[in-house]
Amino acid sequence: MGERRGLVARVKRQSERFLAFALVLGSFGGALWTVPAAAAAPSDRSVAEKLVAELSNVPESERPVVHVTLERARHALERATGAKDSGDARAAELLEGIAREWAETGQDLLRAARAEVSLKALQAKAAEASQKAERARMLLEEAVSRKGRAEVELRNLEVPASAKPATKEAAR
Amino acid sequence: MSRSIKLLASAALALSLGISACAPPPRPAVMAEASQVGSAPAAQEAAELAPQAFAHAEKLRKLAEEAYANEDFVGAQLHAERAIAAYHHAHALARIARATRMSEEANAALRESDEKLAVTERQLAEAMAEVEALELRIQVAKDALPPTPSAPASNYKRELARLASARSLALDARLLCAAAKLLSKEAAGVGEAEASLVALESKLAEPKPSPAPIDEASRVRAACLASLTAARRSAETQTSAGQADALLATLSNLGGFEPFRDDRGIVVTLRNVFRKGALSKEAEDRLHELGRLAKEHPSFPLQIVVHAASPKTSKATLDEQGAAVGRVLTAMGLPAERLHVEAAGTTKPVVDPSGRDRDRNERVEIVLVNPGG
Repeated sequence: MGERRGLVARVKRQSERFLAFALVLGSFGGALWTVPAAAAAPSDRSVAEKLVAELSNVPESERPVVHVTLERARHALERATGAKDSGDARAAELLEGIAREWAETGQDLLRAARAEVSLKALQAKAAEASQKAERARMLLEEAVSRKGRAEVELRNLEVPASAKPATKEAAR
Repeated sequence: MSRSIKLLASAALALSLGISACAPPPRPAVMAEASQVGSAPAAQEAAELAPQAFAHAEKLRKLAEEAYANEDFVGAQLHAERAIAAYHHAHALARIARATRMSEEANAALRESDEKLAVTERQLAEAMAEVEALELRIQVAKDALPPTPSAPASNYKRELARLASARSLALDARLLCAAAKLLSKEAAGVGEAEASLVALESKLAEPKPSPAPIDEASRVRAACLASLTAARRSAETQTSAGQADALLATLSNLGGFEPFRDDRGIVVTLRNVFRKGALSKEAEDRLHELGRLAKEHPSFPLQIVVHAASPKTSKATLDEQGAAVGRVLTAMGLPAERLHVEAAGTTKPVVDPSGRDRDRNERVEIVLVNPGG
């Protein structure tokens, strides 16, 4: 009877140890799963603030491209701060989303403007290359006709006088 | 009566106040703006080129509508504001997509034009080389044609001019025959041409040959040119036209030589070569430059032609001057058999020999004889 009680207690202790180990393992695994997930999804505010900082430092020549969106992003961030201060967490969250949307719009407007400038340069280069190719084609046509004329002239010069068709004067 | 009217008016007022208190607040203006932005042409372009971003904007606008329907007016306002930003964002992405697509098209067009240009330029170079070869053959064929017999000179002055021309043609013939021999000693026809040249020169050596042997001089020149062409064919050092072009380009780029082509090859003129009977330092430097180039092009023999400004300059002086130029070149390692010196005297002036700048006639011509025609 006593041996049986001892066995039961040992099994209970083993189970408790196993449970504790499983809990530790589970929480460790959970932490491993949540940490990268949290790191992969930065908040709207942090994204917006990062982009606003970047857009504030664009070269002078590109400022007009991002001016309006940058101002709107800044304004939305200020409103979000106000909403948070007044305890309206939901409005603050929505306003941070708006700030992010404007900031990302600014970033992509900049990319669009740069892509359009590159496109213009590329189109000019393509047009110039096309003109060059056309000029070369015309020169080639001219050279081919010149060659044809030269061949005829040479043939006429190389034909011996006796082989030339008799003219009316010569026949007389 | 008036009391009942007052009562009725009060009731109507209370009713209208009650109705207005129960009515929902007006739709936020920003929702109308979102709808307007969402149906603008820019948004339509975004729907086509950036469909995901456009769908995101549409979803936000619907969220605004739902919030409004659920009387969440703050939510409706803020979702609509975000929807406007999202439509603008979608349009920016559409611009990027359009620019990317057009860049790809422009790149393809550029590649196509570059390829076309490369092919055309190659064909053009080939065609031009053929044209140049043909035109050279035409020139040779024309020069070889027997000249139309000249009518007797109408006066003494004309006869003198003909005599000068005949002497100039005879010099041309001598230089052409010499160039032919530099390329190939056994060039076809060179012996006969030289024999005719000797006969012509003895006639020209007479005090006043009459009539001036201009037709004979033309024939001898044509014979020497034909022998040079034959020498080029037999020289077996067929040089491409490109090599002569490259040499001409190099000489032009060196500056100061003012090179040009003639039937023999590439001609360079040096002036102020001699000072007090000796080679000037500048001329020696120029000769070193030419010598270096000549060494780089061993298939091009050299002809040194010394011209005088005054008929008083003796042939011995001219020969000595030519030899001095030749010594500079041979000292650089150029083989003597690649050189030919000719004392041209005053036979081929470049300016009026009686004019003020007659000294310009004094010069040394170095001809890099083209072995390939």
